[in-house]
Amino acid sequence: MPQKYLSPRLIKLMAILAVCSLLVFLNPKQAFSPLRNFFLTAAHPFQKIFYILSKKTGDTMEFLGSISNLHAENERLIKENSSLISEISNLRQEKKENENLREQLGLIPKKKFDLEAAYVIGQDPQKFGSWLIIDKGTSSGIEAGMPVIVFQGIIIGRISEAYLTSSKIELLTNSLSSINASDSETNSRGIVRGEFGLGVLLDMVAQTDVLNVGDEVVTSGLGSDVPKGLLIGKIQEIKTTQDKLFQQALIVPSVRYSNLETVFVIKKSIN
Amino acid sequence: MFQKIIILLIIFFSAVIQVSVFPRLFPSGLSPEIVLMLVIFWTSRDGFEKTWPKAVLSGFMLDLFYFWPAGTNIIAFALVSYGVGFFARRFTISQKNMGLLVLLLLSAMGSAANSLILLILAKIYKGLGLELGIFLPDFWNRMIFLKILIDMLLFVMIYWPLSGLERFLSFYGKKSMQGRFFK
Repeated sequence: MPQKYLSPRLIKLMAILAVCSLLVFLNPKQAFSPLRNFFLTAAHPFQKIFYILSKKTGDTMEFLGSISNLHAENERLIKENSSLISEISNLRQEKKENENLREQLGLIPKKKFDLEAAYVIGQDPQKFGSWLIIDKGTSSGIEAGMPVIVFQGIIIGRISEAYLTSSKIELLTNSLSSINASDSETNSRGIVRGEFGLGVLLDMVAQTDVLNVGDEVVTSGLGSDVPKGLLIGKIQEIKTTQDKLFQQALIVPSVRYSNLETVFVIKKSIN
Repeated sequence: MFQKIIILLIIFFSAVIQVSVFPRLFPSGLSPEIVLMLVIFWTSRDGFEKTWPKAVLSGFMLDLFYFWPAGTNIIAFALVSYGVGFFARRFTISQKNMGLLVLLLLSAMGSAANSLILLILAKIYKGLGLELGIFLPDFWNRMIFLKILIDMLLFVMIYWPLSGLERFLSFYGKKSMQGRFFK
């Protein structure tokens, strides 16, 4: 290459690119863990304050934007409230029935978890957010692989990396995530995996199994530390794989992951 | 040393803001890239020669906070910094003549280039079978234009405070040099 093309700037750039490509290819995660731990620990108090402040700001902005819809929203909520009151009385009866069924099916009652409450203090800023950061880490007994739920036992993902004072949650929508699950109505089993942040897919369901739109999908408790019976979402669409061997179901998660404030890490199931 | 600590703190807090503040205030995919805007700002003033250590540090810091493999953002920032430096030299000979409009154009180009580079890297990773957990949208969609616009607005917002800080740091640097000389 003629020397005029090899300016010191270009040589520096090429050196940076070469070193970084090697780093990426070798991906020595463990080598940078202490450094990541240090910076995450240092950032922890600031992340917490910033996240709470930004949430309040975001809520205020959302409120200001929704003022024009308040009247209609109020009417809708009054109607919804009256229908919910009647639903509560029905649910009380069903609760007893549910407890009996849980016992029969061997599902772990939701109260029997050793939970660690944690605040969300950061999230994936890229489109198709696939992870969250929480303010609890190894100092609170959190380890990689532990499932993370929100209210009412809805699973949102698993701890993928735990540091001293913070941890990373790999959301169900993350394509690296996979959890054994089943249709709560028909008991058809499959694997739930992320669809690049777009949603969650129940995959590898045998053609002979039955899936229905609107059915709830729960964790099956097979082959991992994730307890049985945690809600994932509802089936929105059913399709067949290209090779026609399996069925797939698109699941709508029961919560919006980007709006979460508090989550619970299941440290262990109490028997 | 004081200058270096200030730069490190700026990059650190910008990365914290990028991960903990912007995702709550902006819809998914439109979160502005404050660390990238810092790199573009510094490169447009000092060129790639003087800015590359800051670009490398910024990229590394962001890789740590994004849980991405170390090197991913460094590659993107180094390339953007080189490109911005290249165009900044050609757009204007002297720094004084460089209008904010040209800087805005450079920030827009940098923002687009960064998204494109990350997308290419994500595809390369996928092609190599490396499951590194980087998910990015297709480059050519409506969102990218909105994102570039938001990045440009952020650039305008940080431009004057950073210029003031640069002046202060250079003044402090000169003073401390004088102090050392007279001692």
